[in-house]
Amino acid sequence: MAKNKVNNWQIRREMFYPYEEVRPQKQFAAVFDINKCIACQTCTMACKQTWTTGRGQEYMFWNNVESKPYGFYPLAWDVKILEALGAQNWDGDRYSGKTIFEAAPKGQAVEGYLPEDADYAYPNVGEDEPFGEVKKGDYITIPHRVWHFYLPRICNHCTYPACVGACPRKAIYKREEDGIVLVDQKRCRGYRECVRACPYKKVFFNKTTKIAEKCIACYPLIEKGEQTQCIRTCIGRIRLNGWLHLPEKADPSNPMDYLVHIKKVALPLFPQFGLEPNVYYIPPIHVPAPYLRQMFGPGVEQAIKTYKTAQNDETLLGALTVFGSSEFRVSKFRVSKGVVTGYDDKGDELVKVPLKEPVFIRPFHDEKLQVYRHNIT
Amino acid sequence: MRNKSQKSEVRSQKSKELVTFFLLLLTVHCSLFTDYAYSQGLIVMANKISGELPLDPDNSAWNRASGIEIPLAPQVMAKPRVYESGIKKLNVRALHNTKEAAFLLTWEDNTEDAAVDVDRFSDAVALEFPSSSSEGKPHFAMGDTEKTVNIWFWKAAWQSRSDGDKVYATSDDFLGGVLAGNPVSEERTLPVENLVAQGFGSATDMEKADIQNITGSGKWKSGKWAVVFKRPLTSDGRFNVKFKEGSVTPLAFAVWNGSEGDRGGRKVVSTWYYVGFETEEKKTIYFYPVLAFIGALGIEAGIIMGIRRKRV
Ligand code: SF4
Ligand code: SF4
Repeated sequence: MAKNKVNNWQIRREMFYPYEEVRPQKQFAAVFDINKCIACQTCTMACKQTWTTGRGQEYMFWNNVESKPYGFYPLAWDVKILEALGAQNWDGDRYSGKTIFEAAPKGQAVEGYLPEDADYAYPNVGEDEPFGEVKKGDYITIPHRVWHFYLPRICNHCTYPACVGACPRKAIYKREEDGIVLVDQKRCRGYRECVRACPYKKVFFNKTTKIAEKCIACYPLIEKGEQTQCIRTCIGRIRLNGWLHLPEKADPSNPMDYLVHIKKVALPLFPQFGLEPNVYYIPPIHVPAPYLRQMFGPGVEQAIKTYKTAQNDETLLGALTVFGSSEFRVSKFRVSKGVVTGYDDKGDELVKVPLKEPVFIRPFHDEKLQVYRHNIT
Repeated sequence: MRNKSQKSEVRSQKSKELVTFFLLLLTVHCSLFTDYAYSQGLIVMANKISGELPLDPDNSAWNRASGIEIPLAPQVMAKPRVYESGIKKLNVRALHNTKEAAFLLTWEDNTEDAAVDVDRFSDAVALEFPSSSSEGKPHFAMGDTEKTVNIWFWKAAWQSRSDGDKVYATSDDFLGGVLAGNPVSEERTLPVENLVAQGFGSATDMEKADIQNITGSGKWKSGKWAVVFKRPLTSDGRFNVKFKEGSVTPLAFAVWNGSEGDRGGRKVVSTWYYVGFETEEKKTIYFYPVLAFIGALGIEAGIIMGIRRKRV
């Protein structure tokens, strides 16, 4: 396997990858706003019901939501790969450490590890377990002294997928039309090189079919211009799905480009791994920065700062308001007179949402019905 | 990556040695060479017997086959590579009865790995031959783009089919591999698979799981695997190897040790050896085909000799 130099904008440098840099015509991407996730697991169940209720898939959660810092699925996935990778230094916003491709042990395509069967046994281990102790007299500060947060995760449909790079049979491919990464169910022979290689552990081994399976980004929905099951069903309206361009081609009217490239409030998960993952997270504002920096890179503090300005920034607020507003893909948005309008790929109007929910104040006593109203919302 | 200049130096030295070796050889009687090849364990003789060929590794008919030992080395040509392995060699015996051929492979392995799980892999063994359509010898490592190889693959997990694990889900509508017709996912009635390959990562199953043209069976007993492959001498299809009485065919070997995480390219392998199908005629008839194979690809023979010299 020849090694090629490719450009990874998330780490602001070139890096080695087993294949050449070939970008799809469009790239599937999503933004998850961690601040709004309530760990209801509706996304997890929507995915499970749709794709993984068969034999051999019992333990699989293509979408999972784990509590951080003590939750993992599979067990300790991030701790293990971070430890294997060693020191990960950033030189400003340029990553000067090694990616998992550059840290590959002799004879291997990437640095990685194969989880044990039992690592998947407790998908919600560490749920709601906070970091730190509540002491007498403690009061809440931002960031919190005692904190935890929820991290919803799906396959990142990476620009440089480790699963693709490690498969000796070329059984995993990235679709040219939308950048979705799929395991060819006919070609895979179940070697689990991808399971070992994916640092996010988002490829799974099906013991019944003896081959690998992974999140398919609900491509039948994507092809119809709709958003994935986990995104459209999200109770917290924390998710948005769309096409992401390269930073130099960012389109300010595209909510993905706007949030990721222009406002830089949404950041990739562990960009230092070098995969250029395409699920972007708005970091939680209540969590101490050092932890978040390791997870989302050096842009964390700025992202939080910008996010906090949303209430006074109509466009930013508008981009965040289209989250969960439609089952269709909102490819463009426009804010005008306190209302955000979402448009589809063709530019047709999809949805209109007011930036501020209208408030109606009704009298305590209703004359017409002759009843008293309680304080309900 | 391999160091090319170093490699070619070794190669040219080896080929010089080889030329000298062949010149010397050609001056003596043909049968002397054949004897040399035998004595060096390059050729496994498929002894001719009458009656049914055994499928059971314990069958006493195997005593009538003379075996040779094959040194095995970790696969380091393509990623993922392995550098260490507990499996160092195997023993091969062969029989034929003018209609069928059978091979018995035995090797030491302290653990019987027949169960498959996320992090558990199956023991396995494979025989490799040039496809009947391949002229000359394909590359010993999985063949090449011009010349395909025919691989007979046996897997412990298919032999035991001990999938005693609890299964909770009941739906069969989500078995992607089965619905896509992936031979790895289909219910297997035979522990063997007939494959064609033309380089690393290209192994392709040629038949439905239940109609493989090879049969086989394996047994693990006190730290040792014994696996039998059996097939008619000839077999239709240009990717299948064809044998006949009195013929000589290259063959190579690979072993996977599940407990060491072997699968796919993570395996121990041999370079080309030869199988000769015994006939009543004098054994010198093997000389010409073997010479043709080796002579045409002297460098590769050099590699064979090199590996042999190191290990024997
Ligand atoms: S559905 Fe939305 S809010 Fe609920 S756990 Fe999933 S991402 Fe979080
Ligand atoms: S997250 Fe893992 S499975 Fe998904 S594309 Fe990236 S490397 Fe592959």
